[in-house]
Amino acid sequence: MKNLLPTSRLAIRVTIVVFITVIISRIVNFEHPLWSTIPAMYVASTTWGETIQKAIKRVTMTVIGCSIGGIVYYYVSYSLVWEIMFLAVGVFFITYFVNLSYNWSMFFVGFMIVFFMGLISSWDHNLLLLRILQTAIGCTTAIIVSGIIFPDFAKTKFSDDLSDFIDELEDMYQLFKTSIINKETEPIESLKKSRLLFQQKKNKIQLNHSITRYEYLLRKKPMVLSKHFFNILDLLLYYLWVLLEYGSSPSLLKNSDCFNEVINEASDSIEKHFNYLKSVISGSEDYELHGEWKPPHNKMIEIYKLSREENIPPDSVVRLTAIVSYATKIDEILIDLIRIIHIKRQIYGKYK
Amino acid sequence: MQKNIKKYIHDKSNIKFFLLNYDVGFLNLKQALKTLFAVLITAVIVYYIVAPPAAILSGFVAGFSSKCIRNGKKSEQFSDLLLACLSFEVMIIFTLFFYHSFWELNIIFVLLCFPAFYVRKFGARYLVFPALSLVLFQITAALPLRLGVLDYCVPVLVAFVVTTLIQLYIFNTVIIPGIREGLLFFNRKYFTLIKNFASGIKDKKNAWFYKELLERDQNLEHIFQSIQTLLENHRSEHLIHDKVNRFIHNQYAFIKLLSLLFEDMTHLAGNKMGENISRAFHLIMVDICYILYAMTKKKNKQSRIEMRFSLLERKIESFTKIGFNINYSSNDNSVIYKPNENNNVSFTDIDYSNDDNSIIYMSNICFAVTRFLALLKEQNKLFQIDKQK
Repeated sequence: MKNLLPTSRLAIRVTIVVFITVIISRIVNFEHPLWSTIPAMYVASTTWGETIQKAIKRVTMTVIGCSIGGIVYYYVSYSLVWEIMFLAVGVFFITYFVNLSYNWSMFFVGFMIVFFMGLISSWDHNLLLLRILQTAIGCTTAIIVSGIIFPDFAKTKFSDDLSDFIDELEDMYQLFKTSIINKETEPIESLKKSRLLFQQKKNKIQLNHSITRYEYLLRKKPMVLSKHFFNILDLLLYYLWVLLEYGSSPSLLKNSDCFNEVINEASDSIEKHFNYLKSVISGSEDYELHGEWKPPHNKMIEIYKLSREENIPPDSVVRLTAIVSYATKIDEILIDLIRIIHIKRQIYGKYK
Repeated sequence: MQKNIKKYIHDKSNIKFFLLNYDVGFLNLKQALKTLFAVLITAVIVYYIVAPPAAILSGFVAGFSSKCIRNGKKSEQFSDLLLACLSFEVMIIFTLFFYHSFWELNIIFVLLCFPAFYVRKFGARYLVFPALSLVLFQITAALPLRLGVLDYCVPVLVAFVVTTLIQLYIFNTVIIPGIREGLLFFNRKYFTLIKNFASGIKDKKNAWFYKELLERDQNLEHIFQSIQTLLENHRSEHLIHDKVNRFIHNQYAFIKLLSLLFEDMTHLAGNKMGENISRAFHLIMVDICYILYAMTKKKNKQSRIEMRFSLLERKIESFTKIGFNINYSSNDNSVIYKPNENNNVSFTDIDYSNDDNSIIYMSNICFAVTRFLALLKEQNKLFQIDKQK
């Protein structure tokens, strides 16, 4: 059963969640069983953390939305026109916020329900309590079932995805290095196109990480990486992309031994730090940091001298210096990432 | 012109830009308005031709079906809508047979949950409507409305026709104006930031700039997510996919370049470089500001922008030349920059021999200004795409 696709696991989970909610609704004899089954169905998500996150948001926003809706309803319930108008306001804002904010869309769902019930019968404080109770039952069932039946944890997904992502970034750098030394621009061109894909992957990892903290709500303190970690990861992605940009343009100094030497030196350090980063993420302690690589001053001057002697246009020199400079920055960033995880691990323990 | 530019920067209370921060291209706003229209019109029609409670059901169908359209090609949108409405109709009829028994109704509901979520693996088309069909199944059972099977067809049919007309024909969302709004938004942000560069790096402004940049970065994260959602919705249109892709790339590159430039400038400012760099920079940044401003004008003359581009190109060329006007001291292998004869800006006051990194920061600045030109040109091209459409 472990080999089931995430969608199949989700489908099984949702079916069980809804089934249990239906049974509870029947036992308690709820007037509107859909008030617990629908939240249960929508709250059950692909990971346990996401389910908890959605459940908390859904219950909170139902309390706030229905309460505010109830207050407004109390003042306008004498007029059908006002009721319809506020119902329309609810519809408008649900649609407006559905892609922008889960919290606000749930708030307006609660708000709209008040006027919908007002239109077909009436709304009072008993219905408010019932609505909150049923939503809470549905959401709690979803949390419990998602944690027991084929559980998928954001924590595991996060660390697996992060390792894969770092692997892919390293491959990307390797391809860049090989291409720039062999003077082949085609592989770099094809890599450039996949930048958005990398960005999306990074966002997904960040999302899974932000969800991870919900999985620790009832357990020990989580090892939460700060937002800076992802900002730095973002920067790493950007620097790699700049390298691709500048590596793909033909430059007159690419043939220079001096430049190749500098790039090789930088690459050695970068590769070493990529490996350290991967071992830190996977929980190993087999690494030793010696500090970042710095471009040797004399080699840089040699490059400048060469550019003057061979009358190389300034933009080519700018491009080469940029490549060296960004390789240095990438190395610095890798060290920062290793340090962040290392410090966090010392405080909170291992990820895996 | 100066007055207009001032107004352009200081008009921070503009609600349009406030909303654009959250809703790129106002696409969600437009979608919300269209859905509201569809719901209201459907409900009014059904109210008069069937029965008042049926109007509520038809409103739900119209609202749900609007959510099922994936904004691709018109034919795809139509098939999405048709599929959703057929599924809604089937669910409503199902409810008719089972609503009298709690157990029958809910067992059917539980059994349908599995396929409704399992079909998600077949793609984005099956992401929304199967679950919404289940919601409708429960809503129909809860409504105090018992009609014949044929009468149940009318609300769905009316909702289908009205939604098709409103969503696909009368107010069909075109993504290109959305991109334009996004471009206007970003150009405005860059303008504010670059304007600060033009006035030079001074200590008192550092904190402000950094805060502003961070804020933009955080906003960007959100905006990129919106754009990516947009992209997912338009994945069937490769041309649009490409444009949105280019749009995202360029804005991302712009904001990161500003961060890098800031970092390099701050470093060199500490090396007594601030004032000189500011002077050289001022010339370039003023031109960049002008181009950014001119691009956003609806009636801008492309020839004028082109002229500014060539001017800027020349200035950047001379700027990079200054940066690499190097003399070498053969004794200790240190670097000395000699004053440029044709330009009143010089970098002689940098002591490169003491600070290995300064040479890198200096070339980074040269690199950054060169890159600004490329990004500006791409931004201008993106505006042109909008006009061609």
